[in-house]
Amino acid sequence: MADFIMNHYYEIAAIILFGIGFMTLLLHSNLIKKVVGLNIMDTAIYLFLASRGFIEGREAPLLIGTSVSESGVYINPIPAGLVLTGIVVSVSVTAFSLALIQRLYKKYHTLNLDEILLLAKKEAKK
Amino acid sequence: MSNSNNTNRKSQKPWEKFICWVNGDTVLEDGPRKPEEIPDGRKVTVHSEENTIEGTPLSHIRKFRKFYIAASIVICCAFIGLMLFTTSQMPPFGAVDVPTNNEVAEKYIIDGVKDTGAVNIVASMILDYRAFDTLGESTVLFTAVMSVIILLRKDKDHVNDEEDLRILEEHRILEERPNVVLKTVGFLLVPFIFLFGIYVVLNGHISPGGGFSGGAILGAGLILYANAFGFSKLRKFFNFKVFTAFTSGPLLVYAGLKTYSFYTGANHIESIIPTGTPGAILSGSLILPLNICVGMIVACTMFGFYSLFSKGEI
Amino acid sequence: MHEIPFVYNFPFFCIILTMVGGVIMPFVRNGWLAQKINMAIIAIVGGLNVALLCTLLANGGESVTYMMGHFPAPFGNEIRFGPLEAIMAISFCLVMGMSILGGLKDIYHDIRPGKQNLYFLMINLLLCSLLALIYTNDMFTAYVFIEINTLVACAIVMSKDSGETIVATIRYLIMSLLGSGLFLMGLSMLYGITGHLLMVPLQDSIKEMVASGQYAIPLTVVVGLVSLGIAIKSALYPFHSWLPGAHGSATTSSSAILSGLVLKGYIILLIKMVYRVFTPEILAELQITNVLLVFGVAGMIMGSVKALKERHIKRMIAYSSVAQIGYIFMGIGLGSTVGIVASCFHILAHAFTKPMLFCSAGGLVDAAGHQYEFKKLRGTALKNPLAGIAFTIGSLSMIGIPLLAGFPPKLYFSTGAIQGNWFQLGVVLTALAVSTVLNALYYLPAVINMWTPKKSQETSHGDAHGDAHDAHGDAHGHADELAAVEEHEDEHEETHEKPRITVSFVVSMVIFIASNFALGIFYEPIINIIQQGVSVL
Repeated sequence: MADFIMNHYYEIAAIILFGIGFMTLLLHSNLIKKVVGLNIMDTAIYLFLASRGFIEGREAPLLIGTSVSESGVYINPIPAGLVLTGIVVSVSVTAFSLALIQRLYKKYHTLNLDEILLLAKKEAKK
Repeated sequence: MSNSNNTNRKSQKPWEKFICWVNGDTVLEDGPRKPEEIPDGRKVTVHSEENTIEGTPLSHIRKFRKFYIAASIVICCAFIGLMLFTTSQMPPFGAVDVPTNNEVAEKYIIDGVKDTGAVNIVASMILDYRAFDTLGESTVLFTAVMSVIILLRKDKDHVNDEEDLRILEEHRILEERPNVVLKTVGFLLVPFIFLFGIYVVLNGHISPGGGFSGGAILGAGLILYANAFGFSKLRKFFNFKVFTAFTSGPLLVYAGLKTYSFYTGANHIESIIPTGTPGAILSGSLILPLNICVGMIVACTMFGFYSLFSKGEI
Repeated sequence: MHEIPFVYNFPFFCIILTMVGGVIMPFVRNGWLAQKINMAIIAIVGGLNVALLCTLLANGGESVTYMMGHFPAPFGNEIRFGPLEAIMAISFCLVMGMSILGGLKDIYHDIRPGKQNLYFLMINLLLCSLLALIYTNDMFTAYVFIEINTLVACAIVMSKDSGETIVATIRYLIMSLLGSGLFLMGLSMLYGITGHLLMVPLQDSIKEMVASGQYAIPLTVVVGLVSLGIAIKSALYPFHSWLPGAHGSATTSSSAILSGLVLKGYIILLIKMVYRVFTPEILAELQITNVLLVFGVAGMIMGSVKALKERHIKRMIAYSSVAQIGYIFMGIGLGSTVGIVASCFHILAHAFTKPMLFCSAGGLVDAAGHQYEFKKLRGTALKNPLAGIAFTIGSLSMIGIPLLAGFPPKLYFSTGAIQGNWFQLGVVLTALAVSTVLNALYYLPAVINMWTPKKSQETSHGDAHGDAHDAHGDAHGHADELAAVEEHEDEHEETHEKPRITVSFVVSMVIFIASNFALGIFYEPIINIIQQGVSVL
């Protein structure tokens, strides 16, 4: 057990964070909180992904001052690039969902998804 | 034949009900409801003038709500448990002999400078080795800002309701009597923010940073400028047309440059773009122009989001 | 290094062309011009893919890897295409073009004039992301384009500006993001245990891993997460709750494209992953195929049951999509080549049928004065006979009448089940029988309803529904029904009232009907191409 925690503390943190985000998403009916939950989930995934590239005692892959590069000095650059892509995607979808929420709030004056669903049903029946 | 049995069973007793159903009248009671639609038991009391929601009694919904909460907690805990167990089977964190530390990562580090001319290996990876992903990524940003425009931008036939008018009034007051502290700090900071943003964009291939981070800094500078000196002043040189040109244009340039590089790569044609001296500002073949494009897209997108959210226009 | 034929650049050109076509749209201020540009791009992409398919078949049905850049397999991005990808791309272009033409009137009606160009921007980017999902050979590229697809799909739902669509969009978006989050989590774990992102090296290292017995549990969890993510996004049964709202409330073209194409893009990606990353043998060993089979069967039955209860025509068609997605997952769950081929054919059949149903329903709804309830749609087929005929043919095709597109996949699903084990045989054949009956039960009343005249409602009540009952009663009923429908059509050819049918609608419906019959009658060459494509996947 102690071995497991020592070997995997980054991933454990990421998974627990993922669970927190997931629960926020499932249990809150406030739309902003749902989006926050999704963001926490995304962040957890990036933490997990970033931890895959780290190698103990090595440097960031910037070859400043040394034009000749060698292996065994730098960490794995791939997860960093993937996380960058992921963050940009997450920014985009967050902006989009917040825009949707703003429109809904202007229309129904509430952020509660259940109330909004109810109001929308009533509106559709009219 | 199950078909006729089915119909007969239905038609014997409630034959008229069946006719109604074929006619398209609502006769069937609602089935079990999906979890996502179950209103929160606490909130439903607000609407207690209705005892039912879509024909389902409130007590059922409350019961289902409790069940839903319990079920989601159980599912979530089970999921976390499974994932933790999976993690314990994964390669350890920070070790050298893990599957991810393979020939691909090694090739990027060892040949990166020779292949692309960029000292920043992450930049060479996202803008040269795996540039197609990054093209998609910029398109995601572009799509998001266009979707926000569809949702929030006011067009000609938009009628301002009371709330819009109130917000507009607030903005007008703010612009007429700007905050002195904000204005002074803005006056001092904005040039440096822009300078730093441009520096980060231009040095993306030889130092940490690049189009995405530099663009975000530039976008923040634009937002500060708009707040300190007023949107109307910013709009003199940054109106919707400029915004469109600065979002679509760089993406087109990006797509064009990468089309050349993909086409030559796939057809085994030598690319004519020099890689330059590693570490110099004019090096890294296409990475510098691509970083500039990405920086422009990101800066405009960030400012566009802010402006659309706060005022509904750019 | 050998030279590649110029035609093999076409998939890449298609992706870039659609992307550029989307990006220039903000400069096109006019919705009409934007639509013309969009149609031109769709036509060009379709044409390029036809050329590609011909070349691939002339070269013996090979599958080609195309480098996106100067670096080969494990280092740079790649796309890969064979006959299967090409035929899918051709049908997607055709269906997308026809869906837009069929719902053109509604697009101009539902979307504000200032934002129509942005709607076509989204359509172009949607085609771009679908093509990229079809062609990709890289898991991370797939993830990026899944996200583009999600955003664009949500954008085309909410571009009809009403409270209902925005509520539907936010639910769709949240579910989709959950799905892509799970997909990315699976992908991160997969990267963690293999160190690769491209499909070919991934497959090699997975095979090695299975052989050595290392990381068995993470691999199972990865397959589960990735399939779960895709299942949520393509609305497999227990995760379908977002679908009826989003597909039922959007504008006609959006509904048609969403159910015809967007759901399929993810499934094609799943099929590619099954063959090119995880391999069917390993999936069968991990029992994943059986899980997919069970979920697919549940979707087939439950989707139809939900559709049976629905009184809103577009929502009913949307629930029917849930059932049809169940068929496709069932085919993948059979775990055999025949099952996958049947699934691929069903993707085509459904892609050609469901948009036709949505577009014709749009025409009928228009004839009823924008009313969606069945009650209000009574007699509308007589006002817009073409839409009525198309809806009837679409319904019959979904039920699985021979000579129509829905029949061959059912034949092949059964063949696949018979070749499989006893469990598969029993489950699949029962599910097919029950689902066919259920399909008939909810489509035929709708068809009868819309062909029944409105005026003499009281007098002809009993008779019309006596007929309806007969139609359910025996298998010959379907034929009678068809004949009755044709009679009605003849009757009303003269009394053509309210001819508000546009040329684009006629073109779209005629092509949809023709392709439906083509798929139903000449299915063998298409099956051959799919078989060839699957064998080189």
